[in-house]
Amino acid sequence: MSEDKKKKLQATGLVDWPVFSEIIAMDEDEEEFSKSLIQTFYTQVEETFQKFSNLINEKNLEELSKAGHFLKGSAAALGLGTIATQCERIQNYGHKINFDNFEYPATATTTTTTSSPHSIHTSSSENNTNNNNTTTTPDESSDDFWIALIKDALEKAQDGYTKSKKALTDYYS
Amino acid sequence: MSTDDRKPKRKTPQPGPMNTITTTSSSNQSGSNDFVKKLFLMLEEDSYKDIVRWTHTGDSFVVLNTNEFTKEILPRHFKHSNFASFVRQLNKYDFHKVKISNEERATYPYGDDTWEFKHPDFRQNDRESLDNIKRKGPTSKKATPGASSASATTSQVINGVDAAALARCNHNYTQMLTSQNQLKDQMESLRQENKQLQQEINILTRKYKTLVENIVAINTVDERSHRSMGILVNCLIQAGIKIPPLDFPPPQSLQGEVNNSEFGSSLPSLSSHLLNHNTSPQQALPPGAAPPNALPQHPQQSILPPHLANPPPPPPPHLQPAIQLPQPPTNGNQPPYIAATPTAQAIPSPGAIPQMQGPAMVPQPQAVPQPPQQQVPPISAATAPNATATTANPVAVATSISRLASSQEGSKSHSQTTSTSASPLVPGAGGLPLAVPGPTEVSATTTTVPNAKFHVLLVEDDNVCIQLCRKFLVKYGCQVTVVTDGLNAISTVEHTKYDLVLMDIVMPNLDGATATSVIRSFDTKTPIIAMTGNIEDNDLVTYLQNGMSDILAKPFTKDDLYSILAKHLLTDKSEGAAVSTGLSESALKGAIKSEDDQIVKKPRLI
Repeated sequence: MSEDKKKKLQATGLVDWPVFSEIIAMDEDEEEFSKSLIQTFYTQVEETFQKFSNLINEKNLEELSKAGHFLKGSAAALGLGTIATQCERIQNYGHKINFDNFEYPATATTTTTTSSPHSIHTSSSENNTNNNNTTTTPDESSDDFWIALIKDALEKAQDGYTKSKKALTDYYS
Repeated sequence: MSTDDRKPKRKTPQPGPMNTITTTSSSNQSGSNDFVKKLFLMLEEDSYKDIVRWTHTGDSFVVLNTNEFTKEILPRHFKHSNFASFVRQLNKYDFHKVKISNEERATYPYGDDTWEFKHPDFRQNDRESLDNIKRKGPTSKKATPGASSASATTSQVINGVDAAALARCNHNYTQMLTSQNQLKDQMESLRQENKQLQQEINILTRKYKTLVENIVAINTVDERSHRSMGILVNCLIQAGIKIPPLDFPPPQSLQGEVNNSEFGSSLPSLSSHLLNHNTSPQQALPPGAAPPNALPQHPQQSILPPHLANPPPPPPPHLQPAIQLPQPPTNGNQPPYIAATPTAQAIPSPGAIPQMQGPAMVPQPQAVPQPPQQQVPPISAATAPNATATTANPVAVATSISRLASSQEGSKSHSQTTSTSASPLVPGAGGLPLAVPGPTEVSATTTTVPNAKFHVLLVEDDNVCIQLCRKFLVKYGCQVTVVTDGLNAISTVEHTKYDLVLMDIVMPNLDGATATSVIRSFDTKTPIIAMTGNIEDNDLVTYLQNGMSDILAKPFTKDDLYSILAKHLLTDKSEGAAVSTGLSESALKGAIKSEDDQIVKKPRLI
């Protein structure tokens, strides 16, 4: 891989470079190792996203948490932090732990460009101001509250995945 | 008039009773704190100064000799001789005992067993302030304002009010007592309930563990029978016996029916061959036996005699843990065979059947003069009836020997002999053409590395992590076997000696922590590293309690992994070196290793 492409991928900020560079270093003695690994990951992500959607419909928090944990592991192993972060949120919300003190989104969140913790907070504060005027928000005692948070995390994870996939496709092209 | 007259009349006799009330019960009207006054008078008495007196400062008094005070002075001034009630009275008037700390005690002029009391308005030569000293407590409020007009009626009223209040208090008190008792009872019953639940949980945990162990054991047995069956079928084919097309059933339904129906007819002829082997193996070697099987006969011939001559050695103590696990189902599975072969001696023909089921399980009466013990069979199978074993099921023998030998690492020479005799068999096993899938084949995959330094078992359910971690491990120079759940991890570790196990925690079927605790019941040495994203303190403690050797936090870098590997693989090596007693041991270890590699890979073919 050319240095240019590496730099370009690095510049996207979507991959944790120390982790990812270690993986592509493995290509030295097995061609396309990292690429096949990424392919495996794509499959896994798409399967898990489907699973998330089904489980959200079933409102099965426990299984959502498990699936979140599962995908978090592989995403983190590849250094795809944006996806891992959202999966971790799903894992925690599934256990009804609002570990990042996320505010309930009043409207369906228009997915923000990045899903770093910073952006979560800006978007949530906007939502909060809307909230005061609109309908009452479900509180933490209802499963719907957590499902809503998980939906938010899933949207951000999907967004992160689309972007990461694009960046990686560019890199491997 | 009459009423007017009566009133003063009534009044006049009153002072008497009233006085008695005030003096005896030291009643609480503001002016009549007689107790305090009496106390003051008592202190004026110079003759008491060795027993009770003012302190130097004059703002407190001290009882120097409580015995004398109680015996001599209290009766004289307070009409009783009870020091405790004297102190109680003092407290009622808001006197306080002056506490003397240990340091002060050293310079305290009045000695050790003294009681010093103090009230801000109770001072030497200050009679006026005495009136400020009031009795504490609710009853003082009930005091009628004018002491002079106090009469029996009023004091009775006071008493009445007191009595009512007292009754109310009593009532409240009893109510409180009852509710307190109720609470106590509730707490007690909750406590008991909790205890019971705890016990039930413990029982359930125990049962769960036993179940898991049994499942693993049953899997092992199934797998072995299945494998042995495959080998037998193969042998029959090689011996030129035609076998109808087999619908090889899954391991669970394999036993019994296959034996009796499909194999029933062809077995006797085969086993008569096998029996001949026991006496003169070379002559009776079945012509159809596969060449690879025939080859190992020679090394075996030279080694076997000493074993036949000697009674089988008593099982080494550490053999037991290795076999312990599969035992319960072994017993359960044996009956069908035993039914078919009442005694191996009496009916020679079905002699091969027990072999087939797995030499580790079936006692061989001919070879074992001792009463059959659970631990003896593997040895007898590996030694005495070897001719049978080698032809009938080389792999099964190899498996059992490897199990035996690996559990006997560091023991005496006989285990070396068995393993050397067994290892040449393995290529033969690999060469067998029969392809019957083993039960664990699906779940375990091994990546071989030429000149692998270590053999690592990776227990992980996430494909990405598997690929990545395996890559890192291979690069480190490890041969890697991958299984994807806790149950398979247990049975795999049971079969094969690994240098290290990397164990994920959250997995289907059985989590890594439980799997580890089960593995620890028969293997305490192999380092097991927990790989987990949950690295909260509680979890870590749990993992270590379950027998994990170390923890590798996910996600980890190559260096994280390598430093863990370096730490545990090195210590493992040095320990191994310390344990092994001679050259033969390392040779043995090598033999076992190569064998195990084969077993993990090859049985998949059978």
